[in-house]
Amino acid sequence: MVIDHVIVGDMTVRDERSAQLRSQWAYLLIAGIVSILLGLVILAWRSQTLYALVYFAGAVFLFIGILHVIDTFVTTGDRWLPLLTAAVFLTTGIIMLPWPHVTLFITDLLIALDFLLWGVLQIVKALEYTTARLWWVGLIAGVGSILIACGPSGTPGMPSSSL
Amino acid sequence: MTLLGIWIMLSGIVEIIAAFAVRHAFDGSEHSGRPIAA
Repeated sequence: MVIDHVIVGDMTVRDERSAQLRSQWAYLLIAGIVSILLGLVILAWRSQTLYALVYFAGAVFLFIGILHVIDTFVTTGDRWLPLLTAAVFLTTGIIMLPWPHVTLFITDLLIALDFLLWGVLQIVKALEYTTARLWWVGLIAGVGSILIACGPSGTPGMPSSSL
Repeated sequence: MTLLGIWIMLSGIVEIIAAFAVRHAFDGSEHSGRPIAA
């Protein structure tokens, strides 16, 4: 911050930062409007945006895989690690792009499993410390977590859509 | 995705509020005598 003009008496301070911020307020406004529109698009087309995310992630995985393939030719040391990484990324990308529903199903199963384990852990901890204040909060959180885990597990794509 | 959509919309509202706050705070700051830093 460069302060070129300071009058201590009436606290007038002029600096480059304030002028910069002043000139950039419109960018913040535009970013805010774009965010609201993006949020509306996501809410209006939840399933489509979810699949769009999967396609995007698949493309990113493929791109990273290709970069690692290039790395195997460029690197001078052991080549097995970039080759292995490339194989993992390329395989994942190749699976994700033609079968997005399978990707969502597996992702949702993992999310459900995570919620289930976290819920059980919360209940066990809550019951272990019943003498503590507000121990029942953990119990409620645990039961809620298990309900979330059990609810969507039968319907692929649902936990991601709802979350 | 519902949560993501709501989250992005809320962040957009916060950004718009921040934009107007910045405009208000530095509106004519060169001559307004507003304290920016003490």
